[in-house]
Amino acid sequence: MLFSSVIFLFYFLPLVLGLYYILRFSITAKNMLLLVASLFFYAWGEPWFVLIMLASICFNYIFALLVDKFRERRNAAYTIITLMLIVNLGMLFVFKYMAFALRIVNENTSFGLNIPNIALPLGISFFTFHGISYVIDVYRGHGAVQKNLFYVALYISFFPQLVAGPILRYNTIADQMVNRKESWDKFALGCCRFIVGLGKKVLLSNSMAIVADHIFSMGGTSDIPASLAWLGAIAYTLQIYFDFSGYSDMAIGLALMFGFKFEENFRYPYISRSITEFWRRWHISLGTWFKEYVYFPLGGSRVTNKDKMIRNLLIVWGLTGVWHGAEWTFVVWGLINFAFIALEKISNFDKGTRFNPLRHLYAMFIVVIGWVIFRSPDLIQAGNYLGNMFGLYGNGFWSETTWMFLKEYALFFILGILFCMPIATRMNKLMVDGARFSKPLELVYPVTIIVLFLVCVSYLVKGTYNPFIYFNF
Amino acid sequence: MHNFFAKKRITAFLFILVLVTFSVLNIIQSFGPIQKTLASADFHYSEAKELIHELDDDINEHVFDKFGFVEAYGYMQSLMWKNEENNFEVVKDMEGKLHYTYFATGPTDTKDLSDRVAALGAHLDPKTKLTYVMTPDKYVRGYTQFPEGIPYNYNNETADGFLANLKQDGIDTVDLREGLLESGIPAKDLFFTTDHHWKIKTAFWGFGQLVNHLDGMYDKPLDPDHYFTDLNNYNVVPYQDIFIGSQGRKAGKYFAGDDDFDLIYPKFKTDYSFYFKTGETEATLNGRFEDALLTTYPLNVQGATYDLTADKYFTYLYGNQGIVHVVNKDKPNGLKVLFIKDSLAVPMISFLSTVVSEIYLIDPRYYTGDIMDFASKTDLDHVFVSISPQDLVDEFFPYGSKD
Repeated sequence: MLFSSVIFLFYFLPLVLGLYYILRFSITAKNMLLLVASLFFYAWGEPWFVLIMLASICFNYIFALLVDKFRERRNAAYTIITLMLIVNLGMLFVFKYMAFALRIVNENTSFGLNIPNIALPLGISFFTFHGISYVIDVYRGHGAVQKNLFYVALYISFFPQLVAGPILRYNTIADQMVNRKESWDKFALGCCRFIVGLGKKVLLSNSMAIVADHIFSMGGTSDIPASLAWLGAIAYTLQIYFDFSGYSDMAIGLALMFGFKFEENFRYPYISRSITEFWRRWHISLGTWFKEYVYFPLGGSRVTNKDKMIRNLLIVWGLTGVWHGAEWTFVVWGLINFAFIALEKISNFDKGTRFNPLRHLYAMFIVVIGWVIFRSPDLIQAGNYLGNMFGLYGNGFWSETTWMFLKEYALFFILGILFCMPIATRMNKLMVDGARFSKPLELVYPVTIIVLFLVCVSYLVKGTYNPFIYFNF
Repeated sequence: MHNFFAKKRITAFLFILVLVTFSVLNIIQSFGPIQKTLASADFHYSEAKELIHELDDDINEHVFDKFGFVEAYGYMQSLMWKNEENNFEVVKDMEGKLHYTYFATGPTDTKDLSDRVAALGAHLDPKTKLTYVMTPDKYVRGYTQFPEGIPYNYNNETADGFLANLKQDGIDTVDLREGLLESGIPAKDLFFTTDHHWKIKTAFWGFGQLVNHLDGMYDKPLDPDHYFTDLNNYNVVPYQDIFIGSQGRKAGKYFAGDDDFDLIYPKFKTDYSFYFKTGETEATLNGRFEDALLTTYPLNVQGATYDLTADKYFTYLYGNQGIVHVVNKDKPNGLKVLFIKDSLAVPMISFLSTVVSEIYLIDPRYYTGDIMDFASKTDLDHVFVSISPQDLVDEFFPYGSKD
């Protein structure tokens, strides 16, 4: 089930919210409701794959019990953690990477292995990382082991973050599952956050997707002038941001409605002045996960030798790339991020404060180039597209199609670029600080948000283009 | 900080109000269809995905005031001065008429399709003649213009290639795109604004062109006195601002506007038998042209502007049926013809019924039998294939394939 669907908005959400607040006398009853609702939410789109998620929940529950029991016996605990990683990552490998791996084998050998057509269970990368986080946090003592399978199931399957994150670490939510308090203010914040996220997804991301998908699908080395290629790249840059951050906003908003507090996942990454800063602001929960469970255990940046730091960065960014999808484009994209972050670290570029507009231009240039590679179906097409952006194939600069897309989607480009910047945050601050126009703005706000919601509904009811970017994940 | 929460609280209150109201209205609206789906559902786990899909469809199709939202959507698109809506589902030309289009770099190769028509011709009884009738595309060459950059689908060029192949195979063709701008009908009135079909007067003109063409093929002219092809011998009943066609239904009337509709039927005495069968549904009607070949339901339907049953174009011959048999009882010794057709040809064929003896119509999308078999085993003088340029795709040519 998608948040941006009629069934979620007008059937699932009101029903679950209504029942939840009817059951507010008992935390156990509320949690049970959320678990049942979450399983239903997942099963609605993937009735078979819910069994895989349930299996993941069960074996991570058992691994956590075992690691807790054998915590004092170092070798046994390591063995359990290793087994846990093999099982979790093995499952991820089978569903997500096996076809890719077999393809590489076939391309480099004469084995001619049969490549099975295995469908990717929705959100498998997310619930696998949740499972790993749970067992490791228990081992590290960052959260008490759950004797009750039910709570592990709730942590892994909680519907706001189930399909597309944010990736919650167990230690950030363990206490909230049993000791959270709902309030009208939390609920109100959650509603507003959810609607804003819905608007980002339905209006901005989906509109940009139309432009990006058409231009990227033109492919090849002919008929794409530089302006059109850049327009497609910028449209995709906006699409992916509003899709991810919109989904995160919806997830955070929904969690707040149920009394949970999730951490921020996006902090205006496109205002960054370095790639390092970009990754501090982009998909924060994924970055934090890799930092906590991969980078720091490898030694992080506090190593005596810079070579080791570079090695650690290389491992993390290689994995980050691969986590996003089983294709060389994701590997290359991860390595590009690694290269620039490593260079910035070595040169202390990130700490500089001079030439900020140029730094911003540099960061956005690398980010946009990175998204082109990320978006392309393979490296050859990525190369062709980049070639078109820099006029390598003699297709000229301007075309009627560029003008048409700009004209047809002018409003969405303008709003997209504006809302990449912290304008909404500043306006909120203006109202809170009691500035001259705060009163009228205060009245305008509820009307604006509700109209935004109704506009989104009209787009959904109309059945407008609504691509689901998370199928790869 | 108080201000911050105050506005959020008001918003949340309004949100709940909207959410609950729409939820209740939606549940009421879709309760029947959901109940029906569940009643006929197969509850095996292996069928779960299919059932979920059907329930999703029920819910999405039966949203409360669905077309109110579509109207709102269309209004927003028009406020943005957009010429395309919803990922180029429909686009506007410079005149505001809606079109189906897609991004294409050139015409589509239709050699396989023309070969199928040739195979049909070879399969017919030698006495049966075959003609391909190419009805016009809404993009009228020499008239229609798209705003800068709006993609053009090369339908006309695809149709040109298709007709060239047919001619090479020695198949008789009538290209109703030719002479369209000299028809006497103002170019802006050739097609509906909100629908992909030609207007009924244009279809009537097409009927005249077809009769002219046939008169050159048969010793005995079909309309020697030009009586049946004279519009003055027909009643023309105009209905103002009544029609929102298939393209308009996608974008809403605030984006697309609406159309007038002319109902044309003979002033002279007529006597018909009309039989149709689509799936398990079949019926026979008898009487005058307007009683047997027309249904006025779409013209009289109230409060369901966007419903498919309100589609005015389906006034003629009850729209698209799997197979139709029309008998003109006043012309017992005329031609017996078969049309393998898409929807565009329907009104033209109904007018043609005034000058021939019998007409069979087959819509390849809904006819489950073997078309070649039917054409060769039925006593026919003439077989027409009439698939418009936009429908030159496999679905409309399910016969004569080499595979």
